[in-house]
Amino acid sequence: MGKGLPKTKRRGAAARTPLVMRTTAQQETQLAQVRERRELPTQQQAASTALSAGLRTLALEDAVGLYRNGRSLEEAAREVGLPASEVFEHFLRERIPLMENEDALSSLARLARRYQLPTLERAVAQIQQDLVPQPV
Amino acid sequence: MFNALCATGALRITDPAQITVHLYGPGDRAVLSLGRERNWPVLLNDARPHTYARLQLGLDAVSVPELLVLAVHAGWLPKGEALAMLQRIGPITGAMLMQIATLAISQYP
Repeated sequence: MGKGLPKTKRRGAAARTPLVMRTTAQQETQLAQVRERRELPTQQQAASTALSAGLRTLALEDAVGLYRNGRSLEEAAREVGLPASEVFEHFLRERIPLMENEDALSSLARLARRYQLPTLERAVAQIQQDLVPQPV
Repeated sequence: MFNALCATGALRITDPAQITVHLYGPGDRAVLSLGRERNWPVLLNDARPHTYARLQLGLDAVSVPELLVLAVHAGWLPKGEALAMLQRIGPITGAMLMQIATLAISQYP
């Protein structure tokens, strides 16, 4: 008894002390620490984004390699873990041939006959006359 | 275009009852199985499954350039729009297919 405030109150007072005693210099140091802590995740995030972009580029290159080795675009995309649409866009950007059908004219003619599309049949016949051989 | 055609009812999404083709990716397999099951023409852009559909399964196969021709023919798409779309996919389209599709679309008024 008579030793001042009860323990809990003393603890409360002790906790409040730094707040009261904080100097401008301390505040600045704390602010600098807070800024540092805030910048660290930003830097980590930037590094992680760069890494992720780099890995994506590598994955796209792998997909092209797989495609050139005989996989379909969809298979290649799955193997590298990217959506097929993203690989498709990459093919488009890199001008990698995906669609080819040397027999497109025959395919169209077959469809025209099968579905009785005389206008299309006539168009196909006209194209056969106008077609210029293309280098392979 | 795909979404627009679905919205008008010109296209509808359906699945094969059973996967009977076990090559390529899951989408390729589903399309090839459905085409085989119902003897429907298949839309495949990738030259490999496209060739497989035509030569091994005996299906009518089209890719986007041929689909654009059909869309103009059916009146689903104006000629100018189809030609613009064709230009956009030009970098991944073989020269012969590009020429055929351009000529075919140009035949229409």
